[in-house]
Amino acid sequence: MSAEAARPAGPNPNPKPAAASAGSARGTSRPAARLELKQLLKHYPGADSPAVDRLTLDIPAGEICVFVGPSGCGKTTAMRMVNRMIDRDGGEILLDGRDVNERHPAELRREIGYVIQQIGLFPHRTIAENVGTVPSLLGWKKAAIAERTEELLDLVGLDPSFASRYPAQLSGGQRQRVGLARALAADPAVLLMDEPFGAVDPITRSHLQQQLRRLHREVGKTILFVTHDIDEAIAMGDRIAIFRQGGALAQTATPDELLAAPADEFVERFLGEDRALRRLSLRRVGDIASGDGTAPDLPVVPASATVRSALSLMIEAGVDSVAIVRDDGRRSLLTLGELTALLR
Amino acid sequence: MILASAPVIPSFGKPDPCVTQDHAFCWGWVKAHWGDTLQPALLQHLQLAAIAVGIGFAIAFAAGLLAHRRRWLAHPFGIVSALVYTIPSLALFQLLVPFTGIGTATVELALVAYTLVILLPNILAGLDAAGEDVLEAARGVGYTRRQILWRVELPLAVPTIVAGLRIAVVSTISIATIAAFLLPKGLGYPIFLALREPTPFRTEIYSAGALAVLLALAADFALVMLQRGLVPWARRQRA
Repeated sequence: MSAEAARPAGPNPNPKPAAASAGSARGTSRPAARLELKQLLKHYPGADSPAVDRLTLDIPAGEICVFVGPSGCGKTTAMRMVNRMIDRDGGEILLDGRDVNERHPAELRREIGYVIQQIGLFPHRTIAENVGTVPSLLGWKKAAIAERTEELLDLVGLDPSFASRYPAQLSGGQRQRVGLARALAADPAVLLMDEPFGAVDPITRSHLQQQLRRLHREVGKTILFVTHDIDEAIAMGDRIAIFRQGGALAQTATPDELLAAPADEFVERFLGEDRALRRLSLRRVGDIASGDGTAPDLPVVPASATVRSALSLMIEAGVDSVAIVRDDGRRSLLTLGELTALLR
Repeated sequence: MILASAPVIPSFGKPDPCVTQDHAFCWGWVKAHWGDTLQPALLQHLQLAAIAVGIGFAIAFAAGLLAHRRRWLAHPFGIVSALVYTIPSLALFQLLVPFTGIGTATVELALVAYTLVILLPNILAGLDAAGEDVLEAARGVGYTRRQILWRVELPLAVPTIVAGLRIAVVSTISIATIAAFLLPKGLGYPIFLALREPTPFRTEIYSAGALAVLLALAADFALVMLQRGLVPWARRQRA
């Protein structure tokens, strides 16, 4: 696996094969599911306008799709209709081609991981019991649950000694990891995450974001991620759906496309300033440098650095090219011309 | 053949100087009458209270679950409970006599009414103890409504419910002494008899009263231990 901070090229192209066995050990997992929203409508009684207005979106299996927008734009409402926490008023939600309304809500929810900002760990259950909630609801054997719990604590980076503690004994960041482990326990096909890192400090948040990206590469779930923070959306999303007030989509695009070509003034304002620089921070210099970097006296940048930091170095040193050094010591050259060409 | 000096307290056997001179407390009397007076009274008292709390808890639990599901019921339940509690216990016993006669049923009915007043609000408050976030997560992981009640709301209600039980048990043990006005049972009865003497026999009052207090303390302690067993998570907070 590559460095933690690196972004993958796109959605996990190769979800692992299915394994129906309940005692799922690492490596066997349910394939990610495709999620289609068609003309999705929610109109709360008494409200002037719909909360979600004919939302149509196709999320391919294994993709992280981020819903982002100002508060009250209907992004959370749209997400909560997927696992039927809210009843929709119109349209369709298809999970691998099958409408979620054909399913019993509780049964459906056991197949969809759900992570919320407030986490909602059960205070009367140990961490292990919390993580094992859905497997135990599904009637897994005790030994299988114990094995799976241990595996998940490891996956989210928690020491096995946490298993016997209670939620009140954990920090906010640790609790959110447990929340994520609980959501992943029964190997759901889709993961819904509602502002999952909204309540933790910035350092923990960025750590959790990186960890989720890494975890996504490992387990390859379809993830629907809701946030009001555009930077988080850019950091997390394979694709970003920007909502405007009134529950309609303003634009759906990859982070790079979004920063390169905002659809309208609303999106432009929502994205904020420095769009070109932020696009550069999405790319790694190792992915683009090609020229001969063996010339002496050039500032040196590791291959894992972002293009943005390479640019910063050029400006600082007053040069128009830098040498890129890979882990194996090979060198290549990145010029200012190549760099600006990226933004075209 | 009875000679000139009849005992001051005629019903308590051989004259004991401590008893006849009415000292504040006669340990000898307590030992002599443990078997025929105090122990039976203690057991009857325990039985009166246990039945009242048992029935009261069963009713309050059922009513609590019902009012938890149908919110509008909570308010009328609360009003009725509060009204019952304002009636003095002695008066309540008398009020019930025309309907249930003089007997154990009347006493138990009144005692049950008091336990309800204490238990029902606690059960309702306990069932509301689960936070919004926990309930949202419980739905989200796929618990049905019934599972949420039994696996999340009830376990989280235990501390509040046990707190209510402790108050109910202690107050029932205390109120049950008044049952002696209707019924020759319980620790109130020896007190009642001693008070009827021309010179109240203090040893009997003190010993029966002390037993009632000890019984209440013991029951309270047992409930604290029960709570510790049931609620391991509440003791372990973040270090």
